Amino acid sequence: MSQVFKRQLSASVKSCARNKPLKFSDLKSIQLREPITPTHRNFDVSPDHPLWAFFGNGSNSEHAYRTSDELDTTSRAWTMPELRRKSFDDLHKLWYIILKERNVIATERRLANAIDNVGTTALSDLDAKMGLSHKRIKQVLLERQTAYERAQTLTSDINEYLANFEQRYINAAEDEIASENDKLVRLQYAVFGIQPALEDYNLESDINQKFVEGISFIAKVKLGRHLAQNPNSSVQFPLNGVVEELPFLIRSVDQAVEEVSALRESGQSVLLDKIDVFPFVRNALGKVLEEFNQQSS
Amino acid sequence: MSGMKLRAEKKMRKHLIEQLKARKVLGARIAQGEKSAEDLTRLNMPPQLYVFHNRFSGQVLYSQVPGFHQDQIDAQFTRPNWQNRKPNRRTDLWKLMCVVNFSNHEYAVAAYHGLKDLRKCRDTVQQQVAKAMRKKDDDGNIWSSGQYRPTYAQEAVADLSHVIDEFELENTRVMWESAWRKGDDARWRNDLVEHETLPPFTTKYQTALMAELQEKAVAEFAAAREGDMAHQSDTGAPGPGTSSPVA
Repeated sequence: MSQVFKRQLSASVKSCARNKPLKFSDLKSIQLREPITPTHRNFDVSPDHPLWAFFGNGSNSEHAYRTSDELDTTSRAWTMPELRRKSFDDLHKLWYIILKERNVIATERRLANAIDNVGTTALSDLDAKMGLSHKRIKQVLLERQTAYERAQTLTSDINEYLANFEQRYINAAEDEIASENDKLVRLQYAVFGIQPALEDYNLESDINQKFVEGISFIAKVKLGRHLAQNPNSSVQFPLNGVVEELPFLIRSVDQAVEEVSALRESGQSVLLDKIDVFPFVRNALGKVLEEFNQQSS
Repeated sequence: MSGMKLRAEKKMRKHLIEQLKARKVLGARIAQGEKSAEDLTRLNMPPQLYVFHNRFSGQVLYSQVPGFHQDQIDAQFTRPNWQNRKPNRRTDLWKLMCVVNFSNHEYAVAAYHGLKDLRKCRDTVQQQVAKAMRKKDDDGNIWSSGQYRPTYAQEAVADLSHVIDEFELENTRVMWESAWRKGDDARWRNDLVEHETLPPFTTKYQTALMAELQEKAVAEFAAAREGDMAHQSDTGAPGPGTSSPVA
């Protein structure tokens, strides 16, 4: 209670000392004040703030939307041949980069219409180009999926096709070999399920009978071409099982040939029992992957 | 015959319904009725003013206590029209815009009544003057986005600064939900007001925030009074800024 008493006393002392009244005398004579508009100058916004990603020029944006002279009007959509050369990861990244930009543009179109009612043709054109790129990315992925599925159904024709491919590969001219190598990479993925990039291998699930068949096909084709060019090479057919075939998958042909001849000289080249094949491949690829990871890190 | 009711039964039913209606709580009980400085002291309320902002319509509600009641809405929106409808009591719509700490209860009460007077002035006495200062849309109506009219919050901020300047309420501390709303510094008298920012919050946890603010303000106010009293007893004279002690 003493606290309460003290407060009342002190407060009334203060109000007695005032010469300004604590009340408006006449409502009609009050000079009303202009509304106080909020302002962003009262605080700072970090240039790293994630919401800046919604603006065309990031944290350098001066306005809510870009005008046509700030936009890249000379660009074009990605073409199908360009996209066909991209890996799945690249397409994935590209898809999201475009998606983000389209989102920014959609916001800008909406704001340009709502705030100033200005024309948004330039934004729409840009968006159309990006929409086309999106459609083409989907088309490319569809093509790949179709090719993969069709390859799975080619059970009867597949041996004939592989034999034809082998002949074409061995007899290819020097200027054709790059594209034939690309074809081989696509073929090994489509027919045998061997991923184009080493880091994409899943050693638990990918190593199966098809994979091993794929290794021997690749070794046969590559060594065949090597022997056609160098008939007196140190390594000749037949290759002694997966131990001698695996180097042709993970090394270049010259390195693989050296490795195989070294194996033969040291007597380490043995024909594995069937039950040992998968563990051997897993083990060997695991080591290569480790080396690869160490190099890349 | 089961549908038939005796007169006594009917009367009792009517009586019960009236009871239920009377018992319905239209907002925070503590916010019901106007509080004098003595009432606030008795209720252990610090000298504060709570300013709520309606997130649907942009309207502003003043309260002396951390809460609001339908009576306050009725009293502060006296002449509703299609651009200034009587707002809903829903607690999720009213977000704290700022909390103002005054140096004593007289100031808090004076500011509350001053703000209500200014609101009355804008809504009724000087309606045309207030209308002239608002931003308009192409049709000459108050600018709006949907039902949201930002001008009401801006007027409330102007009124707050007006009241503080007019009554010279020194040692006032305004705690803003967002520093953005404070507007230009030139519109405030720096010798009277300090500005702060509240921690981020949502309406869900607003009551907890207000309870904490109240508790802190009570402690601060008590400490300030203790200081005053100590000063008076040391010097044998009234505290700074006083002319004559009251017996």
